[in-house]
Amino acid sequence: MAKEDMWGKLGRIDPRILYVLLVIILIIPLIAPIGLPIPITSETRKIYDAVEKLPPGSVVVCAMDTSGAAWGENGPQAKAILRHLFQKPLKIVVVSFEADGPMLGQRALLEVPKGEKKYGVDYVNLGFVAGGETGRAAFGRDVQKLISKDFLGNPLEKLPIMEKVRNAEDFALFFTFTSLISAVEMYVRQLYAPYKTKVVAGIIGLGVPAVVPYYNAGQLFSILSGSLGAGEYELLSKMPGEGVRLSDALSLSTLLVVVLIVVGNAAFFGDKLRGKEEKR
Amino acid sequence: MGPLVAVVLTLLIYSFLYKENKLYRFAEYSFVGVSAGYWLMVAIDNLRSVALGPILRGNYSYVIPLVLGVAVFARLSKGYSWLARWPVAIVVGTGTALALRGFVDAMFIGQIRATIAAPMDYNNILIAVMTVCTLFFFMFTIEHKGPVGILAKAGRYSLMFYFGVLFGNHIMTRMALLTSRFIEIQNFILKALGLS
Repeated sequence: MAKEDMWGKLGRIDPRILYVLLVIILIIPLIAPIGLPIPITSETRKIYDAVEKLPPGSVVVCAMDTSGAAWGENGPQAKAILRHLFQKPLKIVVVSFEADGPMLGQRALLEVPKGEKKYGVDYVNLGFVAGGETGRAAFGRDVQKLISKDFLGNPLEKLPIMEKVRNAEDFALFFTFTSLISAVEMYVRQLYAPYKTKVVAGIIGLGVPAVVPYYNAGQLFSILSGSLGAGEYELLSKMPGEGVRLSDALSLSTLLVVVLIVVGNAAFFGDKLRGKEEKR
Repeated sequence: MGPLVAVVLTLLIYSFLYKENKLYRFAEYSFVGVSAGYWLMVAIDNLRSVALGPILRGNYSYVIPLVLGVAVFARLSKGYSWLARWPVAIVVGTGTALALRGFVDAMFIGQIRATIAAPMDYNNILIAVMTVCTLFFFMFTIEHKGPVGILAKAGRYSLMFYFGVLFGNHIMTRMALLTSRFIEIQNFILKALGLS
């Protein structure tokens, strides 16, 4: 049997070694944060400025169209935005058009400091609205006709906040935290197109390239891009949290992936080159 | 108790990275079982709040969707399976009509308008050129030869750029999800040790 050369060995590294490397790379910045710089994108700044400029009493909707699997990215985003919203004299409505969302929305509400804000007066969790696109369209048309009770089972007529929340024309800003490109598209169709609602897509990194065309076309007010977007927002609102903690580890792990891609390609082409030489 | 269960199940799932084992299987099946149970509960709760609740409050128009919902189960009967076509037809018809409401303006005209009317900077010119080239790549009624072939090839490279960006974002997302699990484990350990 021919002895395997360097290229062959590189191409056949035991994946478990790579997993251990990845774990080490991820753990180091979590234990000892490096503090790599986080540049603020214009999209994130636009959201922050818009929240800052909202008149007191404006209704802001946060749609938790996310799932447990995507919470790793959507969670820091939602919490960063909610933390900022709760510092302002705004009315906050949490709702979900995906089944996992209400619990995650409730979790986010429990985790962020709410100051003097009172449930039912300043903020509410409306829970899950079924129907996908139909549900979203109905929500924009008439919230109270669609939903009779909130997530905790309180009738909506007993919640003072709901006097200000009737339809899409009342929404000063509409956030969706989601992993679904289709969810963002539904809001473009059902909220932006008929009511010109300012929709902000808090989407996981994977979905960003697919929703950028809607932002460029002015159909989305802005995009909060993955956990990095959350980190940027936390820095802007001067409340560093999970997003900032994630960014160091994310930068280092991505660097590792880049190195591994280079090594993998070098092994592939080196192997190919050796094959050609052997044929000669 | 919740964070402990989450941390243990996370570790059991990641044990698959070493090799497949029974603990991993246990976590996997638990996930499937809990998900199925949760979805069943959501469905029952929806039925109660969206359909039965309004009917009990005297809004009898909700009987129609309820009957249509029950008709879906007619599929199980050989003689009456045709009944199941009605709710499916209504769901598909309504869904399509609703999606079309904003589709033409938002997804089609809006996108074309944005590409044409964008300010003439380097970035937008590049987007416009790449859009046209990509459209040429998907035009199969003309043979990809000569100038059309060049444009189609440029379209192919444009698509490859897009896939590259998508791949990069994919990696970032997966890493973020993994890191967030690590943060949860770290938070649990710190809390257990009384350090946070």
